[in-house]
Amino acid sequence: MDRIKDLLERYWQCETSIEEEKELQSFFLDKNIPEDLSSYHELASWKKKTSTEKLEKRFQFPKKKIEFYPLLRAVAVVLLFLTFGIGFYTRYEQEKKIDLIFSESFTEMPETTKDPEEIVAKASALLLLIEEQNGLKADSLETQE
Amino acid sequence: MNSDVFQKKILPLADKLFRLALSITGNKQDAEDVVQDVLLKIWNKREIWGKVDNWEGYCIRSTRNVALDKMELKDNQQLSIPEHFDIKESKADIQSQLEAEERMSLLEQYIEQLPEKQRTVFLLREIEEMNYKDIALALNITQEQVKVNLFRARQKVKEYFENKKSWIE
Repeated sequence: MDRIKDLLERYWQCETSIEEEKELQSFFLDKNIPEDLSSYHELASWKKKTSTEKLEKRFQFPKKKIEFYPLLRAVAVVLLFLTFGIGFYTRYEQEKKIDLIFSESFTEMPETTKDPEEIVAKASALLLLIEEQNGLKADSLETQE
Repeated sequence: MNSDVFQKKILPLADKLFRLALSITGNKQDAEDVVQDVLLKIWNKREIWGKVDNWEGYCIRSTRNVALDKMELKDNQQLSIPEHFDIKESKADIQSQLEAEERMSLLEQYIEQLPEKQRTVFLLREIEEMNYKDIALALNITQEQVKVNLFRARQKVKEYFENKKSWIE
């Protein structure tokens, strides 16, 4: 007991080592300590309680940013150019084909008359020509009905 | 940079940092926030991961600074035992509250009222069992200053017990 009292005295003077302080701690944690030293049980209990406090909320790692590595970045750029390149090329080829089709089929209409009387005269002449070719007459068609 | 440094050297200090932050802020929620802030800052400063030798000291120092900033108590002297904290007024309580938990709570309140630097040194020695050299490195003070602060804190705790004993007697 003298040793504990000596240690305690040196503890208050900050002359104890960590090992000696651990010895005091385990002594005062025991409930069967002498009456005159009983109050130091509180200090030992406080130390025990405080040392068991733990961080309940674990560290939250920040969300990872998507990192494009240089190679991946280069591939992305090439793919982007290829996509646009193929798009433009296909469109160009299509336009070229369409131009070709139109240039071959399109023939300008000859100038035609806009005079209604002339149109009627031409149409009548055309009908007469057809009748003659078929050996028919418009009247005979009517009588057959 | 190898993330093992963070996983193996820094994260295991979290509980210790939490106890320190708790002793400064006096509030679990604030203490958790302080630890998260400190660890996040270190996580984002990967360039220093390979350069710090004493991670315990670095983290303790950062935690203390962040906690003090949070509490706007950079001036350590702001936290001292207020005059109204008179243990004698609690004499009746001591006699009536015989439960050990309650007596310990009273001691806890008394320790919480110590000046911040004394309290931090007291905590690092009593709870974290750090030697004077490591405490000095962590708090960026001399070993002599560590001893002075610890001595003052222990003397106050001693006074607490002596006063209490005399009232009960």
